[in-house]
Amino acid sequence: MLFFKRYLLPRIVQFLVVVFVGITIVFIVPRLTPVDPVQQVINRITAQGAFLDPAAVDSMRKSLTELYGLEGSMLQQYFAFWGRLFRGDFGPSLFQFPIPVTQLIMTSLPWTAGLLISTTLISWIVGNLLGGLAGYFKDRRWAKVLDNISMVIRPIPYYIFALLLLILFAYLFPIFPSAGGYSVGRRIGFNWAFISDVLKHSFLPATSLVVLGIAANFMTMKLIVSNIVAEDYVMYAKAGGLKESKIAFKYVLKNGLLPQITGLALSLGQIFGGALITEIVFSYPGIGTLVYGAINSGDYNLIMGVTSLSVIGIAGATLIIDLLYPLFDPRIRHR
Amino acid sequence: MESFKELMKDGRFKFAFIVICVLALMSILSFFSPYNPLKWNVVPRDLPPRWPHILGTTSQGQDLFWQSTFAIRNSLIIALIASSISRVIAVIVGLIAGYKGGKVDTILMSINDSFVVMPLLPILILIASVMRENLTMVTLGLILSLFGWAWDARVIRSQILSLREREFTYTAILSGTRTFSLVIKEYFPFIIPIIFSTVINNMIWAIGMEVTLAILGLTNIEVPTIGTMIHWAVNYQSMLLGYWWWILTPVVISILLFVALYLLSSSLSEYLDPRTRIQRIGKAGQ
Amino acid sequence: MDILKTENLKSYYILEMGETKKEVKAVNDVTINIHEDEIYGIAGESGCGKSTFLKTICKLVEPPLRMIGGTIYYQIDGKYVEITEIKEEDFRKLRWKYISYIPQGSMNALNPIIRIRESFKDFFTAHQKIENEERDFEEPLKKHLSALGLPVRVLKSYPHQLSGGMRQRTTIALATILKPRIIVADEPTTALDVVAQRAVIQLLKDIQKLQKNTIILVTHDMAVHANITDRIGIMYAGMFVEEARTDDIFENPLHPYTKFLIASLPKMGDKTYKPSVPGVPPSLSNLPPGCPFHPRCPYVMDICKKEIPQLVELNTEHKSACFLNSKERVE
Repeated sequence: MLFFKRYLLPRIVQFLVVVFVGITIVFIVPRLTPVDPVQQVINRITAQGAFLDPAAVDSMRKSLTELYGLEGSMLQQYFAFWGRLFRGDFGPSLFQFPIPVTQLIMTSLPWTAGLLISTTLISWIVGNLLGGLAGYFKDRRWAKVLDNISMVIRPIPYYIFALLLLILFAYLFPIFPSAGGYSVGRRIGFNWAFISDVLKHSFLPATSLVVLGIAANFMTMKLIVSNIVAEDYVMYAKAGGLKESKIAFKYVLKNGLLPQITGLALSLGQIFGGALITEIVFSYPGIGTLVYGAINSGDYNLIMGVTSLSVIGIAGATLIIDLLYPLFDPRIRHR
Repeated sequence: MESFKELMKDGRFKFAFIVICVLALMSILSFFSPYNPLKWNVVPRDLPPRWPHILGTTSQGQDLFWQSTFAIRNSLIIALIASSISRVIAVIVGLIAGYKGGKVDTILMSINDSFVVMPLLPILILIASVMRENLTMVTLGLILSLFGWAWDARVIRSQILSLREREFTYTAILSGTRTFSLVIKEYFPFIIPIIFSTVINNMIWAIGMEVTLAILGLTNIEVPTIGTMIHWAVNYQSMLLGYWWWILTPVVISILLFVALYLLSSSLSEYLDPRTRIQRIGKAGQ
Repeated sequence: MDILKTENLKSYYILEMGETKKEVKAVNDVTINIHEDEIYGIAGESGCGKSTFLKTICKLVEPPLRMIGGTIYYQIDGKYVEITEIKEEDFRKLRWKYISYIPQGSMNALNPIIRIRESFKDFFTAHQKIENEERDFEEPLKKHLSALGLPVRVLKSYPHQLSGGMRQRTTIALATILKPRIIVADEPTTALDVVAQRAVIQLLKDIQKLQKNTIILVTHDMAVHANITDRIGIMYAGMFVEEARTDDIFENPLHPYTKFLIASLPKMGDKTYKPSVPGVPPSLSNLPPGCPFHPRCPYVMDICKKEIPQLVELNTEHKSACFLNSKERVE
């Protein structure tokens, strides 16, 4: 019970606060700007050369206002917004009218989720392992080499790094396809030909996420470990003549991974942003490319839908990691 | 001066310092540019790097070297606006949460943590796509500052929490020092190093965000920044057409800038951290 | 026979900042002999180099600490072995079986995320093969714990679930599981409450009686020394200034510094004012010339300011490093 009150409850509350703040921002932003989104859409349509008589413009304005949920007072709009959110209804896409936004997102989501989950796991495991070992054996040659490499890679933003990979492997040494999720014309199905095609297409986007992810985890873990090696229990294990490998893994790495679990929860939002960018560079058919299309076509409903869902998704994933944390840390589990 | 000499012994700091100086010099050169950065077709198009256009020219007829000087200047201005304002927010939130404690702390930190966890990019995309043409450099800096304070507010808060428990706080309170002057006189000396060590990382983040939004075409793409330079290069398919110097210039500049800023911040914070200082000293004895 | 001896042992912390080099002489020319089957106490103010001395004789020297000179001998099967000549891997095998270490009571010496049993197993298997879990590990472990009066249930706990005193007793059980010849204890009672201190002291006594090994006990608490040690060495500014049998030192302290230490102890029924040592300990990086104690010594003579007194035997098993005493002898 104490565990629930002290550990679980604050985290669940935090989840609700994140969702509340995020969704409220999503609601407020389009309404705070001097730009009237309805007028903007109409402008765009008229700018494309179509002549519309005033009556048609009026009716379009009315339906667009309804579509955006811009009817009634601010408060009414706000509650209506939450109501639609609970129903999973973000309205129709403006560009691919009348396909619901939710349906578009659901088509792209598996691609993004697949890319994101696999690359996050790989870079978390590899980065922490290497970072932990390099932190423990910090005077070895390989540790210094790895340290220097990640020091240079670490600060590069996803976009730049993805561009570099694209220049290198798609144009200079065309080993991998530069765009798409699978070859044009290939039938989607659960067979080896399709899967290997998907893997080949996702190799470059995945690499860009994994390399940057490894570098980030490497640097953080190395810092954590440099503190842990000074802990009493590590020195004591040395005094006890335990084998180096045992100290490195069971005493240093295992303890160092705990803050990294929390770190993973905290950085999910950033990783998600990175995945969006990478997808756009490689025209990978996930949420990022969907968003890019929405930006170019001014599809607000779609952008709002993606933003709302990503806030909920990231907050949810963070909550799950937080709830799993006690499984790894007995100090939380057994008070 | 003494500490600068010692810092220069660190290879990372030396490299970072030199790169930053060169880039700063370039941004100053922008004031002497012979071309208006907003005008197209001021030089012959698509020239590879050679004198007098040492970095080549673009398909828009702009000189890449002089364009870069403006881009560096503008990107740095955005980063400075974003990081300085977000420092102010971080200090205020961190001070209040840490000093008041209790309910105020709980509420502020829970909002704070929401900003840490939140996927900022989609939200920034939403904001930028609503603002579009109205997104000037200053507004972009302001918006980024509204989202970039949370991590550092937490750091400042924990510093204040530990300061609050120290003796001098009690002495000050018991001797009737007012809260405001206590904070300014006694706490600020401890906060300033944190501000400096976080400001560089925040600049890296802000420049990265600017680049991202610009490439997506969500900022004012007429104004040259590192992001908009990449945007145009990508948009004109410079890579496919073989104008490699066009895409390479902003990419290399941005990598140099990011790496130099990062090395600067990590070597500085290592230098300021008393514990690694001892380790370094110990190593020297071997 | 001696189990461990040092000759002119020197360990310094070497700090270098730019051009300036700083040496902290934490262990400064120490020559001592420690016998088999005894509890040898080391006393002194904090910062006098006690802990550094222990680290050096356990070969737990890591930068910025460095062993500058001198030799350390372990007696292994009747032969003296110079420990710098032992290979790293061979020395690892000596740990816990030959020499083990009890940390300060305030230290988190146990891995916080594994159960106590796991910790025992890690330390055990580092030196001994387990073929049959039950026969080779569980049984001896339970026997060991019950011999030391510790409940077997601690094995199932995590370190944070035990009280400070219990944790320290568990650490002591861990340090003695392989019946080492030498046990080095660094302030084992510090940061514990009085009841827990008493239990820890009793435990150390019991273990020594049971296993007949040597305990080197460092503490600044003279009462603990009086309670448990056979012989005491008094450290001051990185040097041993006096060494004698425990009862000898309490009855007849020879060095002025020891006299202060003893005189400051409360006695039953005595309500007089207790003088403490005047002044402050010298900085180990900037020692005064001559005897390091001379600035605080009420009996200071001219020679004290120029020469460093050597530790010489005055009575049976009673050594002191003070010109006051050696001069008495000479005259």
